[in-house]
Amino acid sequence: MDPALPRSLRTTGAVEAALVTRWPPPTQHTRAGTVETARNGDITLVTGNGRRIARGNFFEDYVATLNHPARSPSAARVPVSEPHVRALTVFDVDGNVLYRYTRNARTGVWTGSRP
Amino acid sequence: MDWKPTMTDLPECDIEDRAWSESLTAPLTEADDVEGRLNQLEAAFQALHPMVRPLAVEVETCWRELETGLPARNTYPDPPVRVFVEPGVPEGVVVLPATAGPPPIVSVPSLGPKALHALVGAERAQRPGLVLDWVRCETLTVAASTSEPISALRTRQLGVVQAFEPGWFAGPIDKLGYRLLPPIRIWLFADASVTMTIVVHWSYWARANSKERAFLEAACERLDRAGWVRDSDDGMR
Repeated sequence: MDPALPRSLRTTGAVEAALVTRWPPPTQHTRAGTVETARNGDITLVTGNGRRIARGNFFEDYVATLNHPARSPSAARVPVSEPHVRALTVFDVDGNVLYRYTRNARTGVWTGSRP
Repeated sequence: MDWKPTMTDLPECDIEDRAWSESLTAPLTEADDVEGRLNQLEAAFQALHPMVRPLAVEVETCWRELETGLPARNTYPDPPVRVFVEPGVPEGVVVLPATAGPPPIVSVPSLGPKALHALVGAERAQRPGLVLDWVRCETLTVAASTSEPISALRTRQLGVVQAFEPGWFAGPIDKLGYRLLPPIRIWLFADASVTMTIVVHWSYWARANSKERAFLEAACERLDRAGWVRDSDDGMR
């Protein structure tokens, strides 16, 4: 509970975050080819000669970002609100769940899952 | 304190409580053209400079792959996130880093476009197949000017907020446990290409047909003529 918040915004319960995004993002063009992002978050670089190079998964890779402080605090990319929430659900603009992140209350470690 | 939804009252002006945003993508640069991406960063801030002055920015660096031009994955250790703050952040206006940690705050004499170029590009390094580059530059604290002859604005929660210079209003403001967003925020990302997103949180700058809005539109058009591509479909209208 944040005492700086107005009373009507305070809660002693678990706080979750939600994010709505246009998904998947449009194809990006690079000097090396195009970057395609699939609905499940898989990122692929397609080179000019048609070679497909896997570039990880957008959603799954963010789990490592959320758990980053344990590795290198000065390089943390964790959103400032992360300590205040126990879960983050990502929705598309139609309200469908794309991915859900949850933080273990005991260990503080984030994990991710698909619907 | 009784809390009500955010509403900004500006004297002599109708309330315009919706935001405005615009995104632009810069011309593609070569993977090793760090200086080119710094020039694009400078050009973006230069276009907005007469009306938008960053007082604090957060900068994220990365190792960029020379083969693909994309930020490298799973590099260790990652370059640090940095926060630069200009002197003269007014009382009641806060610097809120976007990342938990938080990164150390570095005081610098200026965050003007050329100074920002120099700060972000100060450290140059290479590894086999990789080059050190910036990937995110985000304003945390901003001042924005208005041509209207006002010295204060009024909000229901904060009461009167004085301009810290004639016609210049800064944010975010944190007073009495209540927070007011900055008038304008600017995000620059350098992924495959450099993309700038401008988000306006307050009228006058959001109000249609205002001089402030016209200035922002003109700044976007100047970048458009310089080869940037506007992505109006993503803007909140």
